[in-house]
Amino acid sequence: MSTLGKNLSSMLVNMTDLILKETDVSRMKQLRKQHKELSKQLQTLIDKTVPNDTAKYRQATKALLEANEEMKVAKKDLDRVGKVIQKIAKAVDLVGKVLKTVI
Amino acid sequence: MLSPPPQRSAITEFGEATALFAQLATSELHQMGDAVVAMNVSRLVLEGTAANPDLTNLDEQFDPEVVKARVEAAQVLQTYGRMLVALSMGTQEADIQRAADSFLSSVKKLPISSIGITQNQTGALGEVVEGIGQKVLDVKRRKAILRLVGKTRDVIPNLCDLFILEFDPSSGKLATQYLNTTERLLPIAKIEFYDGHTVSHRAAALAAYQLAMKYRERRSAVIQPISQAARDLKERHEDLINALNEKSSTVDRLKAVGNEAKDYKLTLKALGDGAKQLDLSLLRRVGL
Repeated sequence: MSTLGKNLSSMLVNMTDLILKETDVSRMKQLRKQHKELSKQLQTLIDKTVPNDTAKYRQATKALLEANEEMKVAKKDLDRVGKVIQKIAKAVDLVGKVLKTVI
Repeated sequence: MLSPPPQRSAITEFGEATALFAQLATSELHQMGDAVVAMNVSRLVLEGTAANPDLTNLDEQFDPEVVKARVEAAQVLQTYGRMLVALSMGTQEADIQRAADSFLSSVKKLPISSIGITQNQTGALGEVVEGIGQKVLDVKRRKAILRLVGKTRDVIPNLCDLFILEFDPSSGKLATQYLNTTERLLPIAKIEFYDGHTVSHRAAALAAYQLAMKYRERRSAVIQPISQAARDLKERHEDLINALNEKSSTVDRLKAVGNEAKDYKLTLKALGDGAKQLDLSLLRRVGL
Protein backbone atom coordinates (compact mmCIF):
# COMPACT_ATOMS: atom_id res chain seq x y z
CA MET A 1 0.00 0.00 0.00
CA SER A 2 1.08 3.56 -0.52
CA THR A 3 2.63 5.78 2.14
CA LEU A 4 -0.74 7.45 2.41
CA GLY A 5 -2.37 4.14 3.34
CA LYS A 6 0.31 3.33 5.90
CA ASN A 7 -0.13 6.70 7.58
CA LEU A 8 -3.88 6.37 7.40
CA SER A 9 -3.93 2.94 9.06
CA SER A 10 -1.54 4.10 11.75
CA MET A 11 -3.70 7.18 12.35
CA LEU A 12 -6.84 5.08 12.56
CA VAL A 13 -5.28 2.92 15.28
CA ASN A 14 -4.09 5.99 17.24
CA MET A 15 -7.50 7.56 16.89
CA THR A 16 -9.24 4.44 18.17
CA ASP A 17 -7.01 4.58 21.25
CA LEU A 18 -7.88 8.22 21.74
CA ILE A 19 -11.62 7.53 21.52
CA LEU A 20 -11.31 4.66 23.99
CA LYS A 21 -9.49 6.95 26.42
CA GLU A 22 -11.80 9.93 25.98
CA THR A 23 -14.37 10.39 28.74
CA ASP A 24 -16.12 13.48 27.41
CA VAL A 25 -19.07 12.08 25.44
CA SER A 26 -19.37 15.06 23.10
CA ARG A 27 -15.69 15.01 22.13
CA MET A 28 -15.85 11.22 21.87
CA LYS A 29 -18.67 11.47 19.32
CA GLN A 30 -16.88 14.18 17.39
CA LEU A 31 -13.80 11.98 17.17
CA ARG A 32 -15.97 9.01 16.23
CA LYS A 33 -17.41 10.91 13.27
CA GLN A 34 -13.95 11.66 11.96
CA HIS A 35 -12.82 8.11 12.72
CA LYS A 36 -15.68 6.76 10.60
CA GLU A 37 -14.63 8.93 7.69
CA LEU A 38 -11.00 7.86 8.00
CA SER A 39 -12.02 4.21 8.09
CA LYS A 40 -14.04 4.70 4.88
CA GLN A 41 -11.03 6.33 3.27
CA LEU A 42 -8.78 3.46 4.33
CA GLN A 43 -11.30 1.01 2.85
CA THR A 44 -11.09 2.85 -0.47
CA LEU A 45 -7.31 2.56 -0.37
CA ILE A 46 -7.64 -1.20 0.27
CA ASP A 47 -10.15 -1.65 -2.56
CA LYS A 48 -8.57 0.61 -5.17
CA THR A 49 -5.21 1.72 -6.48
CA VAL A 50 -4.44 5.36 -5.90
CA PRO A 51 -1.79 7.22 -7.95
CA ASN A 52 0.92 8.42 -5.58
CA ASP A 53 2.75 10.96 -7.68
CA THR A 54 0.50 13.98 -7.33
CA ALA A 55 0.83 17.17 -5.28
CA LYS A 56 -2.52 16.40 -3.61
CA TYR A 57 -1.18 13.03 -2.52
CA ARG A 58 1.91 14.60 -0.96
CA GLN A 59 -0.17 17.24 0.82
CA ALA A 60 -2.52 14.62 2.23
CA THR A 61 0.37 12.44 3.42
CA LYS A 62 1.95 15.46 5.15
CA ALA A 63 -1.34 16.36 6.83
CA LEU A 64 -1.73 12.78 8.08
CA LEU A 65 1.77 12.79 9.50
CA GLU A 66 1.10 16.06 11.34
CA ALA A 67 -2.22 14.81 12.70
CA ASN A 68 -0.58 11.58 13.79
CA GLU A 69 2.12 13.45 15.71
CA GLU A 70 -0.50 15.60 17.41
CA MET A 71 -2.51 12.52 18.26
CA LYS A 72 0.45 10.90 20.02
CA VAL A 73 0.66 13.96 22.28
CA ALA A 74 -3.10 14.02 22.85
CA LYS A 75 -3.11 10.36 23.92
CA LYS A 76 -1.01 11.48 26.90
CA ASP A 77 -2.82 14.78 27.42
CA LEU A 78 -6.54 14.69 26.63
CA ASP A 79 -6.76 18.50 26.86
CA ARG A 80 -5.07 18.57 23.45
CA VAL A 81 -7.93 16.69 21.76
CA GLY A 82 -9.46 19.92 20.43
CA LYS A 83 -6.31 20.69 18.48
CA VAL A 84 -6.18 17.12 17.21
CA ILE A 85 -9.73 17.35 15.89
CA GLN A 86 -8.73 20.34 13.77
CA LYS A 87 -5.67 18.58 12.39
CA ILE A 88 -7.70 15.45 11.61
CA ALA A 89 -10.35 17.51 9.84
CA LYS A 90 -7.65 18.98 7.60
CA ALA A 91 -6.20 15.53 6.91
CA VAL A 92 -9.61 13.98 6.17
CA ASP A 93 -10.34 16.80 3.75
CA LEU A 94 -7.03 16.42 1.91
CA VAL A 95 -7.24 12.60 1.76
CA GLY A 96 -10.80 12.97 0.46
CA LYS A 97 -9.51 15.15 -2.41
CA VAL A 98 -6.99 12.45 -3.35
CA LEU A 99 -9.60 9.71 -3.24
CA LYS A 100 -12.08 11.67 -5.35
CA THR A 101 -9.83 10.92 -8.31
CA VAL A 102 -10.36 7.15 -7.97
CA ILE A 103 -13.95 6.81 -6.77
CA MET B 1 19.51 -41.80 4.03
CA LEU B 2 21.04 -38.75 2.40
CA SER B 3 24.58 -37.97 3.49
CA PRO B 4 26.48 -36.18 4.86
CA PRO B 5 24.41 -35.68 8.05
CA PRO B 6 24.73 -31.85 8.32
CA GLN B 7 23.35 -31.51 4.82
CA ARG B 8 20.49 -33.89 5.51
CA SER B 9 19.73 -32.14 8.76
CA ALA B 10 19.70 -28.68 7.12
CA ILE B 11 17.28 -29.85 4.42
CA THR B 12 15.03 -31.73 6.84
CA GLU B 13 14.82 -28.85 9.30
CA PHE B 14 14.10 -26.38 6.53
CA GLY B 15 11.50 -28.68 4.96
CA GLU B 16 9.69 -29.16 8.25
CA ALA B 17 9.81 -25.43 8.97
CA THR B 18 8.37 -24.61 5.55
CA ALA B 19 5.49 -27.04 6.03
CA LEU B 20 4.86 -25.61 9.50
CA PHE B 21 4.80 -22.05 8.19
CA ALA B 22 2.29 -23.03 5.51
CA GLN B 23 0.06 -24.70 8.08
CA LEU B 24 0.13 -21.63 10.31
CA ALA B 25 -0.54 -19.23 7.44
CA THR B 26 -3.48 -21.33 6.19
CA SER B 27 -5.05 -21.54 9.61
CA GLU B 28 -4.63 -17.82 10.20
CA LEU B 29 -6.12 -16.84 6.84
CA HIS B 30 -9.30 -18.70 7.78
CA GLN B 31 -9.28 -17.20 11.28
CA MET B 32 -8.89 -13.69 9.88
CA GLY B 33 -11.76 -14.17 7.46
CA ASP B 34 -14.02 -15.54 10.21
CA ALA B 35 -13.04 -12.64 12.46
CA VAL B 36 -13.90 -10.05 9.82
CA VAL B 37 -17.34 -11.60 9.32
CA ALA B 38 -17.95 -11.84 13.09
CA MET B 39 -16.99 -8.20 13.63
CA ASN B 40 -19.13 -6.99 10.75
CA VAL B 41 -22.09 -8.94 12.14
CA SER B 42 -21.52 -7.25 15.51
CA ARG B 43 -21.41 -3.89 13.79
CA LEU B 44 -24.73 -4.54 12.06
CA VAL B 45 -26.30 -5.76 15.31
CA LEU B 46 -25.25 -2.56 17.05
CA GLU B 47 -25.89 0.01 14.34
CA GLY B 48 -28.28 -1.65 11.91
CA THR B 49 -28.07 -1.81 8.14
CA ALA B 50 -29.32 1.73 7.57
CA ALA B 51 -26.23 3.19 9.24
CA ASN B 52 -23.98 0.97 7.16
CA PRO B 53 -25.03 1.24 3.53
CA ASP B 54 -21.45 0.52 2.40
CA LEU B 55 -21.35 -2.82 4.13
CA THR B 56 -22.70 -4.95 1.34
CA ASN B 57 -20.65 -8.09 1.92
CA LEU B 58 -19.68 -9.25 5.38
CA ASP B 59 -16.35 -10.76 4.37
CA GLU B 60 -15.25 -7.66 2.43
CA GLN B 61 -11.77 -8.39 0.98
CA PHE B 62 -11.89 -11.93 2.41
CA ASP B 63 -13.79 -13.11 -0.61
CA PRO B 64 -13.77 -16.96 -0.70
CA GLU B 65 -11.94 -16.93 -4.04
CA VAL B 66 -9.23 -14.62 -2.68
CA VAL B 67 -8.75 -16.77 0.42
CA LYS B 68 -8.73 -19.95 -1.66
CA ALA B 69 -5.95 -18.60 -3.89
CA ARG B 70 -3.81 -17.81 -0.82
CA VAL B 71 -4.52 -21.18 0.75
CA GLU B 72 -3.44 -22.87 -2.47
CA ALA B 73 -0.23 -20.85 -2.43
CA ALA B 74 0.38 -22.05 1.13
CA GLN B 75 -0.31 -25.59 -0.05
CA VAL B 76 2.59 -25.34 -2.49
CA LEU B 77 4.90 -24.34 0.36
CA GLN B 78 3.61 -27.17 2.51
CA THR B 79 4.05 -29.88 -0.13
CA TYR B 80 7.45 -28.45 -1.08
CA GLY B 81 8.56 -28.71 2.55
CA ARG B 82 7.26 -32.26 2.84
CA MET B 83 8.98 -33.32 -0.35
CA LEU B 84 12.31 -31.98 0.89
CA VAL B 85 11.83 -33.95 4.12
CA ALA B 86 10.93 -37.13 2.18
CA LEU B 87 13.97 -36.80 -0.07
CA SER B 88 16.39 -36.05 2.72
CA MET B 89 15.13 -38.65 5.17
CA GLY B 90 15.48 -41.62 2.81
CA THR B 91 11.80 -42.41 2.83
CA GLN B 92 10.64 -45.32 0.63
CA GLU B 93 10.36 -44.78 -3.12
CA ALA B 94 6.56 -44.81 -2.98
CA ASP B 95 6.53 -42.17 -0.24
CA ILE B 96 8.85 -39.89 -2.15
CA GLN B 97 6.72 -40.28 -5.27
CA ARG B 98 3.61 -39.50 -3.24
CA ALA B 99 5.22 -36.36 -1.81
CA ALA B 100 6.30 -35.34 -5.33
CA ASP B 101 2.80 -35.94 -6.70
CA SER B 102 1.25 -33.83 -3.94
CA PHE B 103 3.71 -31.06 -4.68
CA LEU B 104 3.01 -31.20 -8.40
CA SER B 105 -0.71 -31.26 -7.84
CA SER B 106 -0.53 -28.19 -5.58
CA VAL B 107 1.62 -26.36 -8.14
CA LYS B 108 -0.93 -27.11 -10.87
CA LYS B 109 -3.73 -25.67 -8.73
CA LEU B 110 -1.85 -22.43 -8.16
CA PRO B 111 -3.94 -19.51 -9.46
CA ILE B 112 -1.04 -18.01 -11.37
CA SER B 113 -2.57 -14.70 -12.38
CA SER B 114 -3.71 -13.70 -8.91
CA ILE B 115 -0.49 -14.35 -7.03
CA GLY B 116 2.23 -13.16 -9.37
CA ILE B 117 3.79 -16.49 -10.41
CA THR B 118 4.48 -17.18 -14.07
CA GLN B 119 3.46 -20.23 -16.10
CA ASN B 120 7.14 -20.84 -16.89
CA GLN B 121 7.99 -21.07 -13.22
CA THR B 122 5.31 -23.64 -12.44
CA GLY B 123 6.19 -25.59 -15.60
CA ALA B 124 9.83 -25.80 -14.49
CA LEU B 125 8.73 -27.14 -11.11
CA GLY B 126 6.65 -29.80 -12.83
CA GLU B 127 9.63 -30.98 -14.89
CA VAL B 128 11.93 -31.23 -11.92
CA VAL B 129 9.72 -33.58 -9.93
CA GLU B 130 9.02 -35.95 -12.82
CA GLY B 131 10.13 -39.43 -11.83
CA ILE B 132 11.68 -38.19 -8.61
CA GLY B 133 10.52 -41.29 -6.73
CA GLN B 134 12.92 -43.48 -8.66
CA LYS B 135 15.90 -41.63 -7.29
CA VAL B 136 16.62 -44.09 -4.54
CA LEU B 137 20.38 -43.81 -4.62
CA ASP B 138 21.89 -41.15 -2.40
CA VAL B 139 23.85 -39.53 -5.18
CA LYS B 140 20.81 -39.31 -7.46
CA ARG B 141 18.65 -38.02 -4.66
CA ARG B 142 21.19 -35.35 -3.81
CA LYS B 143 21.12 -34.22 -7.42
CA ALA B 144 17.30 -34.22 -7.36
CA ILE B 145 17.30 -31.99 -4.27
CA LEU B 146 19.79 -29.61 -5.82
CA ARG B 147 17.70 -29.39 -8.99
CA LEU B 148 14.54 -28.90 -6.99
CA VAL B 149 15.83 -26.09 -4.77
CA GLY B 150 17.52 -24.53 -7.79
CA LYS B 151 14.26 -24.46 -9.74
CA THR B 152 12.37 -23.02 -6.80
CA ARG B 153 14.84 -20.17 -6.36
CA ASP B 154 12.29 -17.68 -7.74
CA VAL B 155 8.96 -19.32 -6.96
CA ILE B 156 9.42 -19.87 -3.22
CA PRO B 157 10.57 -16.26 -2.60
CA ASN B 158 7.60 -15.05 -4.68
CA LEU B 159 5.24 -17.06 -2.50
CA CYS B 160 6.97 -15.70 0.62
CA ASP B 161 6.51 -12.15 -0.72
CA LEU B 162 2.80 -12.85 -1.11
CA PHE B 163 2.53 -13.82 2.57
CA ILE B 164 4.79 -10.98 3.74
CA LEU B 165 2.25 -8.58 2.25
CA GLU B 166 -0.98 -10.39 3.12
CA PHE B 167 -0.06 -10.54 6.81
CA ASP B 168 1.34 -7.02 7.04
CA PRO B 169 -1.37 -4.71 8.46
CA SER B 170 0.08 -1.69 6.66
CA SER B 171 0.34 -3.25 3.20
CA GLY B 172 -3.21 -2.58 1.99
CA LYS B 173 -3.87 -6.31 1.65
CA LEU B 174 -5.86 -8.77 3.77
CA ALA B 175 -4.26 -7.80 7.10
CA THR B 176 -5.19 -4.16 6.46
CA GLN B 177 -8.78 -5.23 5.89
CA TYR B 178 -8.62 -7.02 9.21
CA LEU B 179 -7.15 -3.91 10.86
CA ASN B 180 -9.82 -1.65 9.42
CA THR B 181 -12.63 -3.96 10.52
CA THR B 182 -11.26 -4.19 14.07
CA GLU B 183 -10.59 -0.47 14.48
CA ARG B 184 -14.00 0.35 13.02
CA LEU B 185 -15.85 -1.76 15.56
CA LEU B 186 -14.12 -0.54 18.74
CA PRO B 187 -15.45 3.06 18.81
CA ILE B 188 -18.91 1.86 17.73
CA ALA B 189 -18.95 -0.61 20.62
CA LYS B 190 -17.87 2.02 23.13
CA ILE B 191 -20.39 4.62 22.02
CA GLU B 192 -23.23 2.12 21.76
CA PHE B 193 -22.38 0.95 25.25
CA TYR B 194 -22.72 4.55 26.48
CA ASP B 195 -25.86 5.23 24.46
CA GLY B 196 -27.57 1.86 24.75
CA HIS B 197 -31.06 2.21 26.22
CA THR B 198 -31.60 -1.44 26.94
CA VAL B 199 -29.58 -3.94 28.90
CA SER B 200 -29.43 -6.29 25.92
CA HIS B 201 -28.10 -3.55 23.62
CA ARG B 202 -25.43 -2.62 26.13
CA ALA B 203 -24.55 -6.29 26.60
CA ALA B 204 -24.19 -6.63 22.82
CA ALA B 205 -21.95 -3.54 22.78
CA LEU B 206 -19.80 -4.97 25.53
CA ALA B 207 -19.48 -8.30 23.74
CA ALA B 208 -18.53 -6.49 20.51
CA TYR B 209 -15.92 -4.48 22.38
CA GLN B 210 -14.36 -7.62 23.87
CA LEU B 211 -14.41 -9.34 20.51
CA ALA B 212 -12.68 -6.46 18.74
CA MET B 213 -10.12 -6.09 21.53
CA LYS B 214 -9.22 -9.77 21.25
CA TYR B 215 -8.89 -9.56 17.49
CA ARG B 216 -6.78 -6.45 17.88
CA GLU B 217 -4.47 -8.37 20.20
CA ARG B 218 -4.29 -11.15 17.63
CA ARG B 219 -3.14 -8.66 15.02
CA SER B 220 0.00 -7.77 16.96
CA ALA B 221 0.57 -11.20 18.55
CA VAL B 222 0.00 -13.45 15.54
CA ILE B 223 -0.77 -11.74 12.23
CA GLN B 224 2.08 -9.24 12.09
CA PRO B 225 4.62 -11.90 13.27
CA ILE B 226 3.50 -14.21 10.44
CA SER B 227 4.49 -11.49 7.98
CA GLN B 228 7.91 -11.44 9.62
CA ALA B 229 8.02 -15.26 9.59
CA ALA B 230 7.43 -15.20 5.81
CA ARG B 231 10.33 -12.78 5.49
CA ASP B 232 12.51 -15.13 7.56
CA LEU B 233 11.44 -18.14 5.49
CA LYS B 234 12.53 -16.37 2.33
CA GLU B 235 15.91 -15.67 3.90
CA ARG B 236 16.33 -19.25 5.21
CA HIS B 237 15.51 -20.60 1.75
CA GLU B 238 18.17 -18.45 0.13
CA ASP B 239 20.69 -19.53 2.79
CA LEU B 240 19.88 -23.19 2.16
CA ILE B 241 20.25 -22.88 -1.61
CA ASN B 242 23.57 -21.10 -1.23
CA ALA B 243 24.88 -23.61 1.29
CA LEU B 244 23.90 -26.57 -0.91
CA ASN B 245 25.30 -25.08 -4.09
CA GLU B 246 28.60 -23.74 -2.81
CA LYS B 247 31.30 -26.27 -3.51
CA SER B 248 33.33 -24.91 -0.62
CA SER B 249 30.41 -25.16 1.81
CA THR B 250 31.81 -26.45 5.08
CA VAL B 251 30.21 -28.79 7.58
CA ASP B 252 29.97 -25.83 9.97
CA ARG B 253 28.12 -23.73 7.41
CA LEU B 254 25.59 -26.49 6.79
CA LYS B 255 25.21 -27.03 10.52
CA ALA B 256 24.56 -23.31 10.97
CA VAL B 257 21.87 -23.34 8.24
CA GLY B 258 20.28 -26.39 9.89
CA ASN B 259 20.38 -24.79 13.33
CA GLU B 260 18.84 -21.58 12.03
CA ALA B 261 16.02 -23.56 10.44
CA LYS B 262 15.56 -25.45 13.70
CA ASP B 263 15.32 -22.20 15.69
CA TYR B 264 12.93 -20.83 13.11
CA LYS B 265 10.76 -23.92 13.53
CA LEU B 266 10.65 -23.32 17.29
CA THR B 267 9.59 -19.71 16.70
CA LEU B 268 6.77 -20.92 14.46
CA LYS B 269 5.66 -23.47 17.04
CA ALA B 270 5.58 -20.76 19.71
CA LEU B 271 3.57 -18.55 17.37
CA GLY B 272 1.11 -21.37 16.70
CA ASP B 273 0.77 -22.09 20.43
CA GLY B 274 0.21 -18.39 21.09
CA ALA B 275 -2.54 -18.31 18.48
CA LYS B 276 -4.25 -21.33 20.09
CA GLN B 277 -4.09 -19.67 23.52
CA LEU B 278 -5.74 -16.55 22.10
CA ASP B 279 -8.50 -18.70 20.57
CA LEU B 280 -9.14 -20.35 23.92
CA SER B 281 -9.22 -17.07 25.82
CA LEU B 282 -11.62 -15.64 23.24
CA LEU B 283 -13.95 -18.63 23.66
CA ARG B 284 -13.81 -18.20 27.44
CA ARG B 285 -14.62 -14.48 27.12
CA VAL B 286 -17.65 -15.01 24.96
CA GLY B 287 -18.76 -17.77 27.28
CA LEU B 288 -18.51 -20.76 24.94
